[in-house]
Amino acid sequence: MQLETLPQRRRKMISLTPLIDVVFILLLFFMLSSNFTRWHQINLQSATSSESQTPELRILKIESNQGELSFNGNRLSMNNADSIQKFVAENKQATIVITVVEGIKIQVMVNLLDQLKRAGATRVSLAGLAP
Amino acid sequence: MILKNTSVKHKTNDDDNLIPLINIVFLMLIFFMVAGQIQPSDGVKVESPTSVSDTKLTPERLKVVIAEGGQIFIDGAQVRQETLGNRVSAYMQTLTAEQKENAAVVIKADGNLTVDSMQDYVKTIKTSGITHISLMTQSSEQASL
Repeated sequence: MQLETLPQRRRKMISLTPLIDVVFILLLFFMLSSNFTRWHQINLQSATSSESQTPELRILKIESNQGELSFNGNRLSMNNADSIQKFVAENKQATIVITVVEGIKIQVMVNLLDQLKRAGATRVSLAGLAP
Repeated sequence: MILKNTSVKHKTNDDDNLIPLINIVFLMLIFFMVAGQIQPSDGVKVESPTSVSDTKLTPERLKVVIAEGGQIFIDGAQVRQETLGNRVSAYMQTLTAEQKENAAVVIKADGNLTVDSMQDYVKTIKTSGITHISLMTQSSEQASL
């Protein structure tokens, strides 16, 4: 009797198919529900009041969704990286305030922020957007 | 002969063939479990603006989703513009005094929404007492270059 039962136990293994079923379902769940986007944020609040001096303001206005900008009546283009660079270099100490005309898309405004950041601008304010 | 051969193979292999498959499936499972993040749905499809911004998201926040058409969603449910202020105030009520100082609203707006229509919402949120307002952006491949 013993001799017979022992080898039988060894042979008997749990079938792997149900295990694979479950693992596949888990895999599908995690594949479909997981999200790989890396989220960041841009702060909209106005500049902190800790700065004792009121800095000079340079009001840069977005004129169109094609990237036309105006500053003191001068025309600039967002597509022209050099002109942005020059503008930022000339106004290193000042705070650049971004304003928009009606109908400008958020993506265009964010692109401008990116460009100013790339050009080295450190003080950019969106205060005009969040009064 | 041939018949015998194949039947013997079947019996001996059985589940053994599946082990490499399971190995790979397990690896993929672990990858998606560890690398992916599960987030509650927004209630509407929103294409957030892409940016090079590297500011981390505020941990304690209320997420306000604004779709391309200007509809507002909070916690996956649509909120009318008139009640947005109430919702934000209600959120403030749930916080302790300490949390209130750092209370933040993160706006997840569609990149095609106009800035002026977003301004109205920002104003509404501001009048309900929250000063930390930020715009949610996603990093794009182009942005990371």
